[in-house]
Amino acid sequence: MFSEKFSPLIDRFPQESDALRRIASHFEVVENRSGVKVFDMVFDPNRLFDISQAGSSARFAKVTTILIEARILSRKFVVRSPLGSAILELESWYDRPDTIYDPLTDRELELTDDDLETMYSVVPDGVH
Amino acid sequence: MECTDVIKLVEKVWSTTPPAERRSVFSLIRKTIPNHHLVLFDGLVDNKRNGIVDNPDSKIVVLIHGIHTDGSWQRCVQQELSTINGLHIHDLGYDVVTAIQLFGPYRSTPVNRIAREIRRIKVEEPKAKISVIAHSFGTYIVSKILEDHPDIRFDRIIMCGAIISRAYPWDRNARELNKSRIINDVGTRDIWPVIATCTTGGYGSSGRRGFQSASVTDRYFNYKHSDFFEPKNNHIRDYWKPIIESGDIPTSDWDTKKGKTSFPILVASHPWIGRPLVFLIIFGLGILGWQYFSKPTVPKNESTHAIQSGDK
Repeated sequence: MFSEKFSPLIDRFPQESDALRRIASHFEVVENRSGVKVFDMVFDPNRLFDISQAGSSARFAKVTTILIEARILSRKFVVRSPLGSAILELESWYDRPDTIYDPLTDRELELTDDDLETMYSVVPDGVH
Repeated sequence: MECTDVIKLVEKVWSTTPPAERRSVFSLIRKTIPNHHLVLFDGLVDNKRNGIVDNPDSKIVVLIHGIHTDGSWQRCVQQELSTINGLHIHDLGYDVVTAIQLFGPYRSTPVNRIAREIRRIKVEEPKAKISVIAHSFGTYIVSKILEDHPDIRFDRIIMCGAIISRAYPWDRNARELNKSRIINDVGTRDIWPVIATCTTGGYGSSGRRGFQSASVTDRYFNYKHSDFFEPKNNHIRDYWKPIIESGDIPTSDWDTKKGKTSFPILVASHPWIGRPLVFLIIFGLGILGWQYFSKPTVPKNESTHAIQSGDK
């Protein structure tokens, strides 16, 4: 079970354990539902913030740090074409180019910070 | 550089930098951040970018344990309260205080340490309402924090096994809290608050007799010092959880059933009678012991000589 990966973290980080426990139970519910693949799950930060009920930006950053360092989640930045599909994935906000070619519309797009969507995705475990 | 410093830095720079310059400014600052804090730094900046703000309804409960313990009960509380939405528990610890430290005059180290921890929480989560659950020496720590660290205020205070003076000036040190926000759970079989009162200074028997004050809600239970955490009593679930969850204060059946406090306990827990009395008893026992052990012994040959001369 993927949600079991949280147990050692909950023990190791007691101050963030409430938020970690809430995310773990969210995964547990999803896992028990048939037809949903945990490793395809992607969250935007606001959704993950709501699930964790972290309460503050600082705690949420600590929780995501724990999950990223434990290789449970990864943080990515996605640029989408005006047609909706992702056309670029970045590791960091600071890597954002000023322009990008959109093959879907065959246009050169100018990028601003608002065009970068943060995504938290589940890190594949080598089997999935 | 600590986590809190990174949090403060991001908060300050974000609010003072024009939006158009933020990426370049944060890119420069990032180079100064130690490697082990980079993921946190990126997370904090990204939260700002995504407009994640602190929830004003966020609640934190701080747990402070007593002496001779590292607070294993704190995990039980954490587990029991974890179902409350938006609540976060911080179990704060300090190096084990021994009975010698408890009865000695040097008690400020754990107080300062807990104050520092609470201050850190306040910096990281300025909008959260912080409540505290404290046991035994932890209640003394709370009383000292309220007294000496006026920047630290609590939303609710729950005490058990309290060793705070019954004359503690709640109306002065916690004037923003009314009676329904300061709860004192009393164990009517708890002997430790009485021992603490009559053997040393600075403590009181509030955990045995209650504060009986207009500022505090006393609830009485047929408990010993640490029975609040006994799983069979379900005390956390039945008596603390409703307070944290909704502010409701369940009453205890024992409030009306408890008998009168015995006279020796009343005497021993009286700060101006119990303490001198105990010191008098100890002093008296000391004198008796000294007299007993320092009684002059008659040399053996002299007594033999006396008997012999008597015979004559």
